[in-house]
Amino acid sequence: MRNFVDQLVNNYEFLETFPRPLLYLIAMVAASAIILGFIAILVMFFVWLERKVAGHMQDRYGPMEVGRHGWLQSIADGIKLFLKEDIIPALADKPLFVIAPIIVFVGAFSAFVVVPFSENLIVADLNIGIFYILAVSSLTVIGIIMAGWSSNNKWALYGAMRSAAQIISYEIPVGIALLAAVLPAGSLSMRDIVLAQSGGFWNWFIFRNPPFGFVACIIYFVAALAEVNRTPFDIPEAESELVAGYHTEYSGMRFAFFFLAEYANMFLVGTIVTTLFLGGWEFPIFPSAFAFLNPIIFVLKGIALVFVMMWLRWTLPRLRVDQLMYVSWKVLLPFAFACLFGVSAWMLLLHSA
Amino acid sequence: MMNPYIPVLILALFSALIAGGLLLLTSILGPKRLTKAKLEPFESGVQPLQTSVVRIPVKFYIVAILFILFDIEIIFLFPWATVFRELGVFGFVEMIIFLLMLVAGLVYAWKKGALEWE
Amino acid sequence: MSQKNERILSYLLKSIKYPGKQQITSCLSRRDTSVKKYASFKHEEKDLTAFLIFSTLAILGALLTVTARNPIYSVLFLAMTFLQISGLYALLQAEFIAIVQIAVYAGAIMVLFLFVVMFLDVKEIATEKNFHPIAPVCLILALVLLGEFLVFIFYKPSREGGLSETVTAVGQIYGTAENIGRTLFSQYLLPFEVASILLLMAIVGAVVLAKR
Repeated sequence: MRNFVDQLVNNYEFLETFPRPLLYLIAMVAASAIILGFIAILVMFFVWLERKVAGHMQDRYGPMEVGRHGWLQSIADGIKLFLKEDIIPALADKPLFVIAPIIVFVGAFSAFVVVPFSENLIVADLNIGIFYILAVSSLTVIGIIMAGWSSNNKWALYGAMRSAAQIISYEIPVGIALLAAVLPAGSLSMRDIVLAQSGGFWNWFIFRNPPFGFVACIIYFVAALAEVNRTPFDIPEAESELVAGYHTEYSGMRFAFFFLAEYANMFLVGTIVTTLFLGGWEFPIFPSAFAFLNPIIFVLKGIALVFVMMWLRWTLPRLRVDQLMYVSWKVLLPFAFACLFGVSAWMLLLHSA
Repeated sequence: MMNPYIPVLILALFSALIAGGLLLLTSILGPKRLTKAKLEPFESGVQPLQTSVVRIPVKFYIVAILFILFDIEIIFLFPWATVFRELGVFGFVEMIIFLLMLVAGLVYAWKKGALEWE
Repeated sequence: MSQKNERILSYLLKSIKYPGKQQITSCLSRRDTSVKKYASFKHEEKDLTAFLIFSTLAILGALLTVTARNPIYSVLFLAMTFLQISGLYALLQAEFIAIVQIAVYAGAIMVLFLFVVMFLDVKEIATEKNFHPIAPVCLILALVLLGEFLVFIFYKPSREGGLSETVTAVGQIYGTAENIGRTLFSQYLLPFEVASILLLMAIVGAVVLAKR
């Protein structure tokens, strides 16, 4: 970021007149705005895509009215939600009820700080990049419990508790599966992890240390699905038993923030899988020849993974609560341990040989 | 030397401001026709029987505490993973000892039925 | 980071790559010149401002934690305090600890607290105003802690390079996950392995208690 500003000042002399820290600040705010705007637009696209995917999988069209094949539907919905009445239930705990969606929203969006769209297109390449995402996503749980508790509605509270229990249970396999990419890269920085897989798809961590890289990728993907409360792990918002889970009492723009955060988190999962296992911004073959396409390739990989999540949602039935806990603690966790063992043993063998 | 966490802070503050601003705008722009029914807790259209906080079962507590313990374990794993190449066999053996302890804990919790969600 | 600082840092990193116990302790206690040089590199003003903001909010959060009537609010203010403390760690370049602070304290432990508060029906506690009989003991402990802090603040081992600067310099050397890994697996190997036994005991304890 700083380098970018310095370069800009070198190229355009009139910028010299402004104090440098101010320029850095402006650049960072601009970068935040761009990231936020880009993710928000992408999320609206995902909402539309989800409805289209759902429609076509069920042999119908999905939204068709607003714009060609309904492509403006999300914008119309956004305007509608924005102009809705602002309702805070009488029994709700007002301050917490108001803050909760903001916390969830901020948690979802501030994780994108470390996502590397290309080698230099990254807001902040933190040394502990991937660990930072893990920490930020654990903050979301607090927001969800706040939302459920402050609503003063038993469905919201049950939904929040289930959601929290689910997220924290699946956080463990997520953390261990991520190590399968950290180990060969030897770094937590997102940029370093991608750079460690450069030079063609056979270098991607999903194919590294076979079959453990692949298994770790699957474990991560499944556990992350559960963390973002997507089907088949959407027990917290099971309509048939809990109305809408922790956001039962939320409507209008407040609800929109939970919704935005959910889809932003889906894309976040897509980008993490892309970064850690699928070579990040690199084209599968002859990556250097396609270097100019890097950010587009990165986003496309992320979108493809989000599509897989939608595909799964409209294919698989919902799990029961007890099955949910079973999958996390008794299936994913032991496999993740085995994977960790396998990757490290494999690396030792290759290095000593 | 710029602290790399400044952008993190700025993005978090910025998104909080955006969210707060939008919420403020929507409360100004939206209609205000609050009725008693709208402000009641949602209960599929009938009078709610019980709205107050329900006591949550103890199983949530055990999931949370297991989460903390395994989370701490993961925190030990991350620095280990970054220097694994330097440490070599030594690091591998040490981590296996460490992990065996936790796997023993997991097996214990499993056998005692603490992982069941009845 | 200027080139000079970079050179010093790389020298320091080299020196702790195979950290014999002596080397590290001497590096810290003797304050050999390189550390001092690095530490004396001037603090930027905004660091102080940020410190003041973070610490004020942390203290405010802590006070609100104690005074809040509703235990749920107490827990959430505590989470806020932890976030501010994590900001303080980030200022000291101890980035790994900063994130651990968020992941474990503000994330995991606060979730456990929230679960526990909800498990013990909230409203009963909310109306209770009496002091617990153990309060005097807590007061004494708090005073002892305050005394320790005061000693720390006013005791300066040497004229140049006060405590805070040394801490910053050490943070810049040790703050990353890599360096924590290196020290963990050399100097602190035994505590690390003992920690696993502690975790095992905690698992057993939690299971036994919950099954009752």
